[in-house]
Amino acid sequence: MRRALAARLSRAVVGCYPRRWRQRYGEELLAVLDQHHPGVRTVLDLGAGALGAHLDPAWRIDGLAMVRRHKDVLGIAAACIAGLMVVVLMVGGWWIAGWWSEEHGSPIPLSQGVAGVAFSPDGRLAAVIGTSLELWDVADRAHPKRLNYTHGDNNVGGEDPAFSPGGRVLATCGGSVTLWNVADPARLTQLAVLPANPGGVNAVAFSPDGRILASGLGDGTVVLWNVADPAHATHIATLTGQAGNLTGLAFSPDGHLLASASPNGTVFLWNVADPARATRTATLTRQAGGVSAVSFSPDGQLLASASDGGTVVLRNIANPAAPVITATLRFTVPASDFAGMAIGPDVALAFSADGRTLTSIAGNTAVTLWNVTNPDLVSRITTVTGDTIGDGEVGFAAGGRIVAGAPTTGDTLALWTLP
Amino acid sequence: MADVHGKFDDLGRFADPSVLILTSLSDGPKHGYAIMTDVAGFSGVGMEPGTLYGALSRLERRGWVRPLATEERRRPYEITAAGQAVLAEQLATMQQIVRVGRLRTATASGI
Repeated sequence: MRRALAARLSRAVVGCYPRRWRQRYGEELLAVLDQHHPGVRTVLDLGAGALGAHLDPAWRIDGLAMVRRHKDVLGIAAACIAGLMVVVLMVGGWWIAGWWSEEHGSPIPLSQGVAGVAFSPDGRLAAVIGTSLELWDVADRAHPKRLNYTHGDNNVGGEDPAFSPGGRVLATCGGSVTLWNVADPARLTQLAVLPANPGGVNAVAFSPDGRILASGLGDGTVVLWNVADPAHATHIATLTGQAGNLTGLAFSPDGHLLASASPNGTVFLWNVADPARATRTATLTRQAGGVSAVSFSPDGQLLASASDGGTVVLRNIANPAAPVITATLRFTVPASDFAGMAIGPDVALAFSADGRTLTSIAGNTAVTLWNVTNPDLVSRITTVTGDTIGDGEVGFAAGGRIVAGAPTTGDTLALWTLP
Repeated sequence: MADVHGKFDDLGRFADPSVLILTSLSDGPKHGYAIMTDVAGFSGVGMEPGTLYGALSRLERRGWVRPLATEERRRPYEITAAGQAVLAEQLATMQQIVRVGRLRTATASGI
């Protein structure tokens, strides 16, 4: 319906060009509009073009002689054009607001940039890391409401936080892990600040039973914490051997395995069935680019890892000591190779609740859905392209059905619901 | 060539679309919609019809593109020799910016 309105408005604005301009270009411009899919941008762009043509002496020549005789005509014409532009801008503004919330859900305005995002297990609450921690009610995707935010220096670092499986506790990264009580988002309180780690904490993940928290450090170390009582968390074990700034962590659905991903392209698989005596079961290599997202399938048979080089590697981990690659999927990564410097986009992965679909996203330009019903015969279902360009932060909720994306330089977070 | 350069700068906000349009027409005449899809294809820039025709009318007035006979309401445009010269000049400037930019960002990041 809005498309039809845009098409009508576009044609109306073409009629606002100077007469001589229309005689020369009007017909072919209308022919272009017949093929083009006009949007609100088309209407505003044509409005600017019409105004520019009116101000251009080349298209005014025939009017000048008349204006010399009737000087007031110029004033009236100018007032008409100004009035028309005001109407176009008002309609455009109202329309942009409607169009945006219809296609994207309302963008979440944030104080300054988005560095991390996580959704509560029920998908109703979003924790967004900007300059502080912000909690948003996103139950109504089109009308998110900010419920609370933290003030001042509170050691909240810029990476994705994690909700506990019950949704009552939130862990944030930073110089150390901070645990927050989010049971009542309106009364956000700090439960504990775990001892600081050198290099800082860049990834956090809760075990499925919510009793263990894994934190990934800047020096490649994984630290396991007992958070059964979050206010009195205790250290369980420190897992070493991996290098790089760990940004991807995931527990298997049964809680027996932990995968840690490094920008150096390795994924370590840890047996954490007995967390105090955790051991490495496998070292997974051979993925180009930095691996920054890992995800287990709901049945625990598959491990997917996504790299900022644009690949998802799918492994059968029925035998965790000897994972077997079943598929290597390639997806589009946004152009982030700025002047020869490779800056990897944020990547994220999620399996659907039934384990049949895997969703991957890099930056926030394109979301790809994969059919992984048969892990040996994976096919691309679709690629959904957003119009926010850049390599910003991304996150998933509800088994990959809700996507959050924020451009690197932007100060908003957009929400999409996938088909 | 300095004269041509000055004339190009006079295009103001139509300078960037003009480079895209001239580039698009370099491999043969195209009508308005074909230019838009071609530009989107090779540069990813989604040019709107208002901008396209704002730039086309200016390019035509400067003699850098030439309209051909209309075919079923659609009018193809072709690049002129003067248009090719001014495009080459602009591309050389861009190449210079890329070269300096790469050099400086590489120095700044210590590569």
